[in-house]
Amino acid sequence: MKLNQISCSLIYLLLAWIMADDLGFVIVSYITGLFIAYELNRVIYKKTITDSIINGCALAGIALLMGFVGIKNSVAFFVSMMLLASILKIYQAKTDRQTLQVFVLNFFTIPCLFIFSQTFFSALLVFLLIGSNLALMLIYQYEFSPEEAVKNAFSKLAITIPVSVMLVLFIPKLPAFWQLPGPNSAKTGLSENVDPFEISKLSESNELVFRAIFPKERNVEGPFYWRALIHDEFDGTRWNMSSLQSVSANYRASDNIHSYTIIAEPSHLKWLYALDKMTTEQDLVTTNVFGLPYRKRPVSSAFEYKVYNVVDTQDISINRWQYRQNIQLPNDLNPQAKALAEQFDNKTNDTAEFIALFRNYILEHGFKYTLNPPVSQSSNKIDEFLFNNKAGFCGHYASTVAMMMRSVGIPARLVSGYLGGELNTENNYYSIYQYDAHAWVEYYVPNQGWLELDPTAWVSPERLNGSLSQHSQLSKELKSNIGMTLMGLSDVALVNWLRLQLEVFDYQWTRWVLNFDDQKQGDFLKNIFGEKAKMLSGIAVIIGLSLLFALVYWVLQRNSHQPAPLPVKFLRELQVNAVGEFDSTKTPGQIILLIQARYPKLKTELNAFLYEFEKVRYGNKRELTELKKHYLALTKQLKNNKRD
Amino acid sequence: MIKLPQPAWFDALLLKKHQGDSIRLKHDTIYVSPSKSGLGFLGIAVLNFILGINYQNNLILAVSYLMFVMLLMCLIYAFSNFNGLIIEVAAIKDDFADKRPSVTFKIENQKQRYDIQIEHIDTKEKSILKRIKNNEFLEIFLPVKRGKHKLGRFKILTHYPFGLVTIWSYLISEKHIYAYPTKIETELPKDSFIISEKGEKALDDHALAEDFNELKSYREGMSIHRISWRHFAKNKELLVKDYQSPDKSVSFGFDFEKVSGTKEDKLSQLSFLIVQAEIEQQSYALKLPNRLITLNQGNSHKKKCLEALSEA
Repeated sequence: MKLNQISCSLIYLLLAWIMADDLGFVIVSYITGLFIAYELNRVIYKKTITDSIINGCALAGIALLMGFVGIKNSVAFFVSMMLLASILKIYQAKTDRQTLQVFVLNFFTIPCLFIFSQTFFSALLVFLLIGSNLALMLIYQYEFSPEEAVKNAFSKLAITIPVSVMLVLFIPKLPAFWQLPGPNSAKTGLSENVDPFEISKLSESNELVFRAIFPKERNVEGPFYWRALIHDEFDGTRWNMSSLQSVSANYRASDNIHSYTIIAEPSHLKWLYALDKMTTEQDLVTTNVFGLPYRKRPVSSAFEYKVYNVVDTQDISINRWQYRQNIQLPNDLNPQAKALAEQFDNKTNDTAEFIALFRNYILEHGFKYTLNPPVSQSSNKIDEFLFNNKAGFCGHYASTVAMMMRSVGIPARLVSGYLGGELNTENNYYSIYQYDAHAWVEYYVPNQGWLELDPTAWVSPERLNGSLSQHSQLSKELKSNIGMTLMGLSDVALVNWLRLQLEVFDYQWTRWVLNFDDQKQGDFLKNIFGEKAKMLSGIAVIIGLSLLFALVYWVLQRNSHQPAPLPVKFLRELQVNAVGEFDSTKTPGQIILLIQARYPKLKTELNAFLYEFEKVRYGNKRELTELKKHYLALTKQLKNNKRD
Repeated sequence: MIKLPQPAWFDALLLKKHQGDSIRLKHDTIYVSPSKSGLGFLGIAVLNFILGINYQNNLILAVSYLMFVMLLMCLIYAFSNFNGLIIEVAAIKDDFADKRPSVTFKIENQKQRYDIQIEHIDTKEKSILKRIKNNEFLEIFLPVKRGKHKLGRFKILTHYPFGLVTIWSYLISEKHIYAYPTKIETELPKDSFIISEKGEKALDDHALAEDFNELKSYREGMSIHRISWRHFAKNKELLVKDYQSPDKSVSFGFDFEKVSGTKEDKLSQLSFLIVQAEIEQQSYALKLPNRLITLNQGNSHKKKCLEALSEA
């Protein structure tokens, strides 16, 4: 009883702590607290835990859940409740039935981890936990020793793993038939509203955002500006997401060949990534009026889409409403910046000149790029940046340029997304991490349309190519912001090598395990079975399974039959030859006597055989050859005698 | 297990296959099905399947397939754990109803097996061997009422491994087991006839009373009827009259009509008297309404009498 409770509750604790980011610290602490209280009581106070105490704990837990997780966050709520209920149930369980129920329920509780995390390590952990759960079932029901149980359980589990992998490969996939709520993960990343001036330290995360796979034959060159969100509403400090962001539009693919594939990692936002205006055949993805992809709901598990370039049907003119939206500006803020913009405007004839002038200004006045900008208290944040601090990250520069353009009537908007990516040369794909997040400007020129401008590149041109991790000057600053991770330690060659190996492994894992969707399965099955793939694969599964079970059964049965030793076989053969049938109830001596009675002539040979037989059976195993000689001689003579 | 109504032909089939005092468990005498926990397990596998499909989550889907395969594997493991066993009724121990008569099974086996259970279906009595390696004996106590009972159906089952499946077989024995009437202590009825060795003359209790050899001190287990109450009254000492001489050996005739009470009471009292007489190594005869067992003594005689009482 003790072992079950401790091991089961440790399983729940482990799960809770791994999912702590998603479930919330309060619930995880509560579960930990329950465990500690129970163990303390068991070891020191030794009071009986009544049902009313358990019920009280459950009620308190539900109250905490309501308060700190909330029903709205339904997946986290549900998983927390499962963990809470399981731990209380195992503490309450008195009968064998109840305990066994908890063990069976664990087969649901443990894989819940996959809702939040689908890395290889999560899979490994779930495998280990399920194996331990099986071992516990053996210990509990049949009094196995822990060692024996672990061996037994994992050997049985190990056989089922390849089979279930084959099933995933070959059983035709069903489409999702219900919409289930996705997990609301609290991950860092892009935000829908950009306010660079609120942030004193850009807390960078080395979490993977997406991967972009380019066809091998295509040689592509950066810089890569992965667009994700358009912000066209400015309130003086903050850029809000455009109201058109989730308005879908129809674009037509310009050719049949996709230019690259994106594997998006789970995210709390539904906005996806593309270089240019795009379209895709993936059903889950829609394109909005900016030519940007998005999903109907947040992405709860990794998925991929192929990107096709589109025929740009956008008018090179914009209508009055759009124009007004893109020069909108609060009147009374940042007077100095406005004056400066006015000054530039008066000196120049077109937008290109305006930009060049501005670029010179930035370069001449010693502006710096930093991930740790000073915080400004003033309400005129852009003035403060432009004339006092002169240091900031992409958000500051983009925000300032866009605001100044707007003040002189040039339509401008902020784009947020990612810049660059880490190239894996072996597989020709780019990994884009959260720390590659970037913001830049798009401005409108009549007869040309919307153009891209990245003012950050003026102060930090190295940033354009490659990932921030490869940026020599800034990588130190970045690493100190990331903290103690493999990324943070990438100066050590071995660590960096390890990090890259893990990255490649994770890429393959995501590509082939997590993203094995019905389309990929269809291609895979078509390769093997040809046209009638689905039906044939169904049949193959059935035949394969039956063969496998037959094999397992045969192996198990074979072990149960101990083969008779060779001398015994000789004796049996002799008896069958001489008497006609084998009688297992007689001793060797009796058998020899029986044969002797039938063939009195063979008395000496028979006795010699018996002598050798006993010698081999009870002592020297090496004299088997002698026995064999006697046996062969005897069978020969038996035959001869029969003929007589 | 879920009890399904069994049609008559099914019963007949079972009888044909499983009747006898021993059974070899093999493919046509073994039945398999998920256990209650196994059904729960299956339910959770389906739940995982639904989650996996709807979240398009291959890992949850893999867990679900793993659970299906695991359940099927369990059937094979359990079958192999069962196959080849020979179960045999080795001994039947008749006993008084309150002492629980029992059946002992011999389980012939040559390999490591786990969790072999035998259940008597009528009484739901169950015995379990958690693990066996060689031949083993398994005793099941049957809490049956007084009487002669057919052993009837035994269910041999296992849940190994993990308790997710039930694999079972039956053994239907035609042998009988006796539950003797529970002994109720009683005085030897006054007018119960006592026969001399030759069986001629009926004496009454008093005639015998003075006819003993010597007095021995009382030990536990001796009949209280032989206590010399006269000595007890005088010396406060419990002395027992010892009738030793074979010539003077007494014989009892126990008559169903001579003891008082209900039928069960009467049988219980007779049961007590017979056991006492046997302890004292006296001969006794038993007269039941429909049966007469003539004078004799010894264990087989006692057994015969007790069986007669059970059947009455």
